[in-house]
Amino acid sequence: MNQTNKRLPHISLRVKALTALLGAFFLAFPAFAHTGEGLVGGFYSGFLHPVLGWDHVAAMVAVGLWGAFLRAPAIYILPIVFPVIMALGGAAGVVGAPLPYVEIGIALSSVLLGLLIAFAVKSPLWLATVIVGIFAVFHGHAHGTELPQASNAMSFSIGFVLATGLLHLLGIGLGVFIGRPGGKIAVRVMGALIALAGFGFLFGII
Amino acid sequence: MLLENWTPGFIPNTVKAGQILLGIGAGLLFGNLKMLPPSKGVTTGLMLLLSGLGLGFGTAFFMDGSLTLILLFSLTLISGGAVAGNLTHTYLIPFAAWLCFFTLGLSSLPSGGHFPASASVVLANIIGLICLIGGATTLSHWATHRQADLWPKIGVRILGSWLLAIAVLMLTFEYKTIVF
Repeated sequence: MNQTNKRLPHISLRVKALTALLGAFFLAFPAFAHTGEGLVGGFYSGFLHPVLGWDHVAAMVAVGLWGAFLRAPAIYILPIVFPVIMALGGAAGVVGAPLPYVEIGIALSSVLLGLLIAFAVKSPLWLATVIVGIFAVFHGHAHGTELPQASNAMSFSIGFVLATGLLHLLGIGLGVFIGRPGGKIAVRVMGALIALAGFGFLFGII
Repeated sequence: MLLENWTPGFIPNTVKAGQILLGIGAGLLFGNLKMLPPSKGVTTGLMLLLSGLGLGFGTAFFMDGSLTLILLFSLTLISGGAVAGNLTHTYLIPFAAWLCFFTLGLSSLPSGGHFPASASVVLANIIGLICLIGGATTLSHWATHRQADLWPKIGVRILGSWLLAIAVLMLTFEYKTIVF
């Protein structure tokens, strides 16, 4: 584990530029409510599904940010754990397995992850994994329940997972600025903003 | 008439595509993780694989969705426990392996087949997919283990996890009307 910490390379300017581009791409989408209505099957539909709900966007970016904050191996383990467990949650949603308080769970994910970043909480890896894993089930279940019936399974799934993964990478990309002067404060402020947004989702303000 | 009950059945092409993605994804993920210590790995790994496969079949035959959900939560806690046991780099192996075999068990029931004739299709399918997972594991390990830079290894792991997630969703789509 320590070896991994030592050998993680510096993030190049190209990667940072790509991160900024990705950020602009996601911010360019209008803030639709996360209903899944009007979506038809296919890659585009699957790709838009996680992106169109700000509650999902905030939480997924927060996962990447927190991972970057915790450094290796969390920086890559959390973004690996999230899509895999989210897919399981999605599978449960697709088959109609009941899960209570899904929307509250999703809103709480933004609140808790945002606060963890804002207060710079250095959680042990196992605890971080469990927290992220449990929230991933809620997010996956919400997506799985709302999947359009006429979806092309393969292209929809590819778009869905890809968008989720790219949001994590966006969070990681933003998180690497921790190493810069003032970067740590900037990242903690981002965490606070995510937590605030989470409270907004929780109380129906946003 | 008796022969009608001895049809082996078949694995639909769409399911096959999902299973192959699952195999490749799992292989890419496993190939870049450190192996468990042999003393812990062999027995624990075998038990996990068998329990995954058994529970996959069990879910396909008997369980309803709510029980599946309980399993998912249990899995989350188990993976946390594995990490707590100082398996920080390796806990993904038992977790992902369990998931693979659960999904393979769930999706390896042939359409239109009847037991025991269908057992040959199930067996051939699972053996083929295990070979695929093994091949992808070996290839990804061989391709990245000499590299000093960690990012390619991390990238392969992330790609593997994405493929695994896509495959799980695809297979659920395909089986949602049949199994659940």
